[in-house]
Amino acid sequence: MNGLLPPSSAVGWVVAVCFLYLLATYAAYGFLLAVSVAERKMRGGSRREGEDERVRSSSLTIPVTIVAPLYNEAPIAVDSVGSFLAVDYPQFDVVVVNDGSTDDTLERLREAFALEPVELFYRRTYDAKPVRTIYRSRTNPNLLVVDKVNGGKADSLNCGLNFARYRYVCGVDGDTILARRSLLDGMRLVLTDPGRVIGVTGHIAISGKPEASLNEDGAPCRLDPRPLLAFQHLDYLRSFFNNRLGWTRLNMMLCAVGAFQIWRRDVLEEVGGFSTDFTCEDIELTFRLHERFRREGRDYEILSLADTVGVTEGPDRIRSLISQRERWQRVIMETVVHYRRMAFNPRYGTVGLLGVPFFVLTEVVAPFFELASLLAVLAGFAFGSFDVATAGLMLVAIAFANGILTTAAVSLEDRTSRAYRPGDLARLVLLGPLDLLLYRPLIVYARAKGTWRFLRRDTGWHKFERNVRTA
Amino acid sequence: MGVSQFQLLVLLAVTLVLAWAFLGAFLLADRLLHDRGRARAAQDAAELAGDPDTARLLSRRRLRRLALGPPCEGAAVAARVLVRRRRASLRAAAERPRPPAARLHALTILVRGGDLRARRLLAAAVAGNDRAMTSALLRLAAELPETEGDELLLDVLVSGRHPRSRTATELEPRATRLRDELVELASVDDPELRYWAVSLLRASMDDPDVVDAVGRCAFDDHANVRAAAAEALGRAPATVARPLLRLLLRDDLFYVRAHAARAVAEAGREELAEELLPLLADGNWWVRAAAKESLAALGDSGLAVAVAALSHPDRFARDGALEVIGASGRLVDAGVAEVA
Repeated sequence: MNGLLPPSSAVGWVVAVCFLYLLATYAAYGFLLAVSVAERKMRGGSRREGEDERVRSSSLTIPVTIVAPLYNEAPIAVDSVGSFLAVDYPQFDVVVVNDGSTDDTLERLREAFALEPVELFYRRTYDAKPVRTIYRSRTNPNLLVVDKVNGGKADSLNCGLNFARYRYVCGVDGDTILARRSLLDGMRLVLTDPGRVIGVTGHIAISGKPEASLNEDGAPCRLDPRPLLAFQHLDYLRSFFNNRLGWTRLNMMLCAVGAFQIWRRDVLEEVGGFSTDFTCEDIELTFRLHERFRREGRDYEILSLADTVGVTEGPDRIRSLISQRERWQRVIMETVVHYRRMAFNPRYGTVGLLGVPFFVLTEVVAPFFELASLLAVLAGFAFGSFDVATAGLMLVAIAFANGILTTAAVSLEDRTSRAYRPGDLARLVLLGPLDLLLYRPLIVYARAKGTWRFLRRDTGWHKFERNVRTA
Repeated sequence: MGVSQFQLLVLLAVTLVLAWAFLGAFLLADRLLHDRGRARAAQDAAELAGDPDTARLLSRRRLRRLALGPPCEGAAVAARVLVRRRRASLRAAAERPRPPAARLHALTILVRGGDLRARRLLAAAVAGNDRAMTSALLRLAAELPETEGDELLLDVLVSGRHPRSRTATELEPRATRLRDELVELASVDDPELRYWAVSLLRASMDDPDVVDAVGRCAFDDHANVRAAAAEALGRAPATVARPLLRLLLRDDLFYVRAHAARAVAEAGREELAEELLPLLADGNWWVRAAAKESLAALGDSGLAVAVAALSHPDRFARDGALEVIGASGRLVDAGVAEVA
């Protein structure tokens, strides 16, 4: 029987290196999972009945401004802004920034929320593209809509920050439907120590139609039946419950997602707001804050919630998915390369010694190893170095290792929310091992494409088309 | 790779498949048991509230689930039964710092079960300074009987071992009962403590002693304390509040002026609307914004001030006035047209 590693051949060496890379990756994921389990257990154990009620009814609860940039979000804009206004929180306002949409996003908002133009003299703390008109809602006094010239998401967020009145701001995506408890969950963490907690993010569920994914209590509950969306949902679950919770525990939470990111406003002002120099703003801002606070030796925390705070639209077409993921790969590479001085630098603590190397291992170099593995396996078959049984067993082992990580993530989420129906849980568990064959190849391709575009210095957004809604 | 290595690979693959299957089955079973347990707990809580004697029929596990669930009569009965049956072991668990969740559970049962040592054990846990547990422990402290809970929470606030903002949130519903203690705290050396004391005294501004204490804080050396005093004074009787708010509206520090401006509107003090006019031309954006919001909220008196500000020599004041008039939704032809 032929072996897995053909001796003394170039292909053998490539396979050996790729195999070691695989082991290192699983070791990193396994370690983070163990840390995440400890963190979730602590969070679950420390939560007390009535705490939310106290925070909700207190006049001392810190008010928040929700800032939502919208660009061509007509199909979902009214529902998403409606969900922002429906959050269960004592004092908040909503600043929606229409980033020069070319569809009828603004018209729909005007109609739905009875917007009327107002004259408002605002504070220009951050540079942003010119504002065309400012609207206030007649029906919702805490809603402000700012129509501006197109300048991208970071520019729109900065524009929104110019209108933010409160001490904390919550950046959300225009295609995100917030759960009713989202701000309460996020700010509950802030209130435990407002002096130290400068940022909070939370898990976002995926659906092809987020506006139909909340139950009557405003909590995410419905799993999209389409496999492509279910796989994306699992991807997000792994990313939040296996990784971000662990990062939080180790104080190296390196990516607050754009769909839900709470920040202390004075901290944003200190670092100059969101950067327009990168393809995407969220991960870069998180890296920048870590870099600054660690360098200056300041005591701080950026946390990830163990709660699902909303539902965002996942692409329901393969082409759109690849477009989205290649952009993510580019922005990760842009950010990690830009902040490469933090890697393995003890001055940056766990961020430098564990966080950045983790990103390098699992994100930056991954496309190269994935490509090398694929070529080596093909060459192995061509030269007769591999046999089908060995390759099949390897595939089964990797598929079920992924299945274990996925099931662990589902378990961590379910123990927090108890929101899934048992049937959905079973489906998610069964989809776990299939991820390797049916979903991972798309991501591998997208990451390779993103890496290629990064090397070509492409910084375009390449926004995917909205999913088609049926009645 | 020889046959033995192949067998190793088979073993690895089979192990991973079995581990996945076990984890999946565990997840589903855990969920089904949770759902069943929750339904049963609701039923048990209702039965126990109706007839506490049925507690003897329940297993320790069911009693524990009830005692740790939402606070209700059934939970209290279950906790009392558990304390009676397992007092020593619960106290021992409440004393052990690790694991923190087990300590918290034991403390919850002891507090809800009315154990005599619960307050002391909870105080020891709070003093342990475990950041992750702080919020839950403070919430639990709020479940202690009135006096014990008041004392413990006040101790925590004074000690400053935990973020005072979170402690103050728990103290807020008790603040009127604790007004004497808070009045004392409003004059201690620690400015942060004075700030929280004044903030909590907001709800007691009908008491002359409280008004006196807060009034003194309007002259505090620390701006945060003056800002808190401004907010509280909004609720004080007009004779006291008016001169002090006037003073705070002219404070050297911008956020004291901004807080004072908001306090004027929150308390609906129309007689002070005119005092907001100079703030429309303030050098600080936040003060101007607060003045605009307050004038807009003050209705006719605010609108009158805004119209008067249309002829103000300062451009910011005129802009602000336009905004207030725009927000009112009422046309003030003459003034607006003239400026336009």
